[in-house]
Amino acid sequence: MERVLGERWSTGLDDIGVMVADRATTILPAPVAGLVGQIWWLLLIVFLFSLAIGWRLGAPGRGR
Amino acid sequence: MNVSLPFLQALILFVWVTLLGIVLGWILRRFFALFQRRTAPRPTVDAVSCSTEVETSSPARSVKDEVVENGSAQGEIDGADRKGAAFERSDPRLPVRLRLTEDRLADMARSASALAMASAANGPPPSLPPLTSDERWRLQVASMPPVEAVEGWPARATDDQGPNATDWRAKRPAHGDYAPSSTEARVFRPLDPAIAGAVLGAQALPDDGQRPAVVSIVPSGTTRDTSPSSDAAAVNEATNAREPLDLPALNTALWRGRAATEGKAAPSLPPSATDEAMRLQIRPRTVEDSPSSDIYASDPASLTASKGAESWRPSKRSEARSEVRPPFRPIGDVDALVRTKWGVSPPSSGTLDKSVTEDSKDDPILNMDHEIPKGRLWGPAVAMPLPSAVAAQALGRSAGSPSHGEVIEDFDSGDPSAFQADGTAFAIGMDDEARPERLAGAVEKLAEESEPAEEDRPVPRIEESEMRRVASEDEALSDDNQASSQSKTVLSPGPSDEDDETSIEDGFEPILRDSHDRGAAPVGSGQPVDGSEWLDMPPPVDRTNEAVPSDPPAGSAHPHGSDDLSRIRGVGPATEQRLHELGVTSYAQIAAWGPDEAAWFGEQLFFPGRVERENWIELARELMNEGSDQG
Repeated sequence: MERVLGERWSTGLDDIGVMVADRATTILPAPVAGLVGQIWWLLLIVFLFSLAIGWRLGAPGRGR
Repeated sequence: MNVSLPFLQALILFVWVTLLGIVLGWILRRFFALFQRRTAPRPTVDAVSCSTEVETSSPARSVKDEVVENGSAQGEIDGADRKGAAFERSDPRLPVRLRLTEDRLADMARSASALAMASAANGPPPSLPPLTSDERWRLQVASMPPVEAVEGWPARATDDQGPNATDWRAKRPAHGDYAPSSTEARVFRPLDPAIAGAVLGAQALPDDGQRPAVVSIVPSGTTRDTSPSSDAAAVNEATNAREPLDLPALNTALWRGRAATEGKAAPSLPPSATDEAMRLQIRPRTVEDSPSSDIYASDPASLTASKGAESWRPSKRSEARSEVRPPFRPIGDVDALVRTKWGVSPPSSGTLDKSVTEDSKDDPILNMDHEIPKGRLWGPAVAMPLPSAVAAQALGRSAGSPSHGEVIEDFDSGDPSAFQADGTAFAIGMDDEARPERLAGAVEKLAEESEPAEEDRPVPRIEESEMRRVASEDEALSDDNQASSQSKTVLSPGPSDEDDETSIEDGFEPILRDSHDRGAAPVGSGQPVDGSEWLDMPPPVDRTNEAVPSDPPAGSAHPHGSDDLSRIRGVGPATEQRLHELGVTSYAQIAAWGPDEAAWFGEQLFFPGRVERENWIELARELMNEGSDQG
């Protein structure tokens, strides 16, 4: 209960998250990169779903 | 709406990822679709070519063979073939979609050119287009049905007893209604052969007035006649009995159609205005500018019309009324409107400076220069000493200390709070050169207030004998301890007790001795003042030479004694020290806390709610009971 000053907080990132956050730091500010490292799996799922949506939208004859 | 920053960041991330995925998937799909279309064979081209072959084989197969055998048309056909070959290959520089469209256009053009060649080889063009098997309708000359005169537009007569007869509004044409220009019976005008030829591809027969052409469309399947000569004969014999063609009407219709299709504005007058069956009355909508300023006033004309007057034009008036946009009418004071909209007073009443100084005399922001006193003591960074300390310092200064400025504003010696306050005052720019002098003046003022004046001081009436006795005692005392007579007054408040021995020796006049002496000596006028409290006051105790204990023994700081606060669960050494700093040393103190005290101490310990959460009060009570049981 008592928090000791100087304690190192865990980042809560797994291995992939650490890697992703490390890569994302190059193009994103640090808090956002940390967020990316935390929710990388969610972002991946959303990306795959949106890939499917785009695939369906890009069907020939769709735009006519 | 409370949205945290990480949530927003995550939202933006999701949006970006979604957009990226959609765009990427779209591009991938288009790319693969393009690949499939390029590699796959074209079924449409084959179908078109097959149909072309069927067409050329059925009506004019032999004709084409003839033409091919004929030497004169050989070059033309070769040219057409080359043209078709040129059609096949589209420009590769074009984008993909355009290229595909061009391929289709090339197919269509190839088939059309083949058909045109086949028909051109036949000499004169056929009167009817070549009939294919899947044609559902064809043109055939048929007998004309008996002509019945079209009545005029069904305008209701006044004595009409239809279902709408009671609706007196329907008797008048409204805006946009079709209104007949004349009430005479219309003549049926058959389709002009020129129009028929242009639209349907049929051959237009020359109009000589004797045999007007009548072309009607009948469903196919009954007869199938492909010979042009029999067609012409049928046309002749079928149209002999027809009524003459209204050529001016057709001309007018054609002229109008041409004028409409060419996008030109129709002239005001058609070539012949007599032959039109009906015309569309399109009048420009007139938005009437109401001359009266009050648009909400009742119009007497419309009022009487609404009551059923004969001059009632319901559509025109009402629609014009509905189209009227109410004019802008400033409501009331324009200045008030401006003030309401912009929140400022209009500058029309005078110059801006004048309006500001007049309208906001008591505005503390605008009148900051006038209202706020110039000086230092207005901000939050005022470092005012306590009045008692000020008084003491003033006394010390009046006692003859030469360096009063240093005493009051001791910049060099380390009073950290004063130094901080000075730093803050310097930071906010309110410190200036005259500060020590001004502060000294304030100190003097406060000292005057705190120290009773000479005439206000109660002077007790003392008997003469007593006065003598006291004087003798005083003499004896001064004789007895000569050395410590001056240091008897250390108890009076002063800037420092031990360090300023020399300054006190120099000329410090303490309050207590002063009053005591004053009470003893008959100074001033003998005013009847009750001075019993002054006399009953115990004499000051000299504690100067007593040995002061350096460290108070444990438990002596508080009547309940100092307990081990770290026995309370959650109280560590740092917290215990902080509690000691706050004056909490025993369990009884903690046990006596109420909810407000608990909250306050929690905040003071930098852990709000911790006292309640960890139940310090209960634990302190238990520990206190333990201690009492043991004791």
